[in-house]
Amino acid sequence: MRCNATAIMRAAILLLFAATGPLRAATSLSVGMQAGFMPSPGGNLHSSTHETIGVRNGIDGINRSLDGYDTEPVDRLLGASGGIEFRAVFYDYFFARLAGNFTMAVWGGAGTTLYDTDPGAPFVPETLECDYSIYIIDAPLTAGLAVPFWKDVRIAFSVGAAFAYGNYKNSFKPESGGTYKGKFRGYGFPLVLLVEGDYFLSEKLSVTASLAYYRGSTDIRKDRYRTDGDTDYARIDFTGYRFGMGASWHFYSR
Amino acid sequence: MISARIHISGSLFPRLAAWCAALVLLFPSYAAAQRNLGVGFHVGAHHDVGNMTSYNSQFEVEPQTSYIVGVSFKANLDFLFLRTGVDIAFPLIEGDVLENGDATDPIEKYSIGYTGLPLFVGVNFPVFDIGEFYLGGGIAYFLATGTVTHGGTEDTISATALGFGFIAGMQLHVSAKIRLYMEWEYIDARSGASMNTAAAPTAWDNLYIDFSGHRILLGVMYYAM
Repeated sequence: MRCNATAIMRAAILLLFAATGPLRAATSLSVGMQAGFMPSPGGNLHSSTHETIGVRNGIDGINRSLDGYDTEPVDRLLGASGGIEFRAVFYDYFFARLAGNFTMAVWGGAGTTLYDTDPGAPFVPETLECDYSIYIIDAPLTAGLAVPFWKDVRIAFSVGAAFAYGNYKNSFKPESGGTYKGKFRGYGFPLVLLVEGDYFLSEKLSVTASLAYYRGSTDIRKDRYRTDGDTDYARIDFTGYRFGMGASWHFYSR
Repeated sequence: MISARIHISGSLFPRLAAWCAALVLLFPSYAAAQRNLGVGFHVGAHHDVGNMTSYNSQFEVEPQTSYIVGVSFKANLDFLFLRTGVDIAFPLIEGDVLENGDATDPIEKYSIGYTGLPLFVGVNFPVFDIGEFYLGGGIAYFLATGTVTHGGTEDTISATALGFGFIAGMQLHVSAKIRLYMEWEYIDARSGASMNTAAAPTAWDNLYIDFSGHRILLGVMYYAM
């Protein structure tokens, strides 16, 4: 683990040095902040514990309701995100962007459903309290083309990849007692497509809006809870759309 | 944990609104520059309504395709815009489960119609005096009704859902007051369990309606103000 951390640090330093050369060719450099949201962070959050309660598609299939039982729908998660970005434009049309984002679930993911306590035998439903949470830290690096429209607007399309780290937790609490928890951590390198627009309020300041699509996940991770008598397995899925709005400071241009 | 998340959610959106208001106040000349309100009419389509293969991976499905008829309202405040409206989706091609490998959930056919009420906020990117691109995020509320055939019987289903998504669009100026527009919406929304389709003895409601998907809209907008 230490070896990996050292290797990553060295690679980052090398990248920084390597970047200083091309940056001299940049016609515009900017730094900005964005806030936004991501629907369904972590995808359907499926894990092997879901299979044991007869659910095949994670949080999507977790909901069941029946007269006489006090259930509450478990909504898909909504992630709120914030981040910083550093962008460079070379020769007016060539665009590169490095960003750092933090996304965490702020809505949904909690409720009460039903499960069959003894599948195959007579139908005996029991309530089950469910709770899901996730946070994701990612750093996408993309490159592409920027299309300026006079000095008022610039729209950039870029593609690349991100380093993404996720931390996903779930918890299932049957009415009859006990709690089955899952905790998963891992990283991956999802592919990234990005479109971002700048509306310039002045030469130095622009309002930005961006739309990114990530595709990728971790490999299968093992549950890190050891004391609940249940070993769970899950992927952390980074796939999904991210929308953000913010402002950028164009501190260098020529 | 739940209360903490709700607390974060409650404080985030007022801050975002205050931040947007501050931007507008900081640049009053921009805010005063272009304010207009348009009313539009559009048609469009939504493919794979219900996302049945996501609901059950053992289904081989001919997906439902719906056409959309809607009215939109777009208010521009220079670089910011607010876009809302009403979209009604009618089944054009009904969903058909061609092969069902799951004997515990014998769905055969489905047909879902829905009404969507979206609200997006975002940034306009004007292109000279030709038109504009725009990109925004927001919420949508859905009300659906339909029929599902399972185990040889046809039942009606109704459901509601709140979703989140984005809009990316472009407008082309035809005249001073009329613009053509094309929009791409993606909204992620799923209802709670609304109907029992599981084979006996399982008696609970298990089927939900997944409204998630891409919608393409084409229309004409009249700028009255």
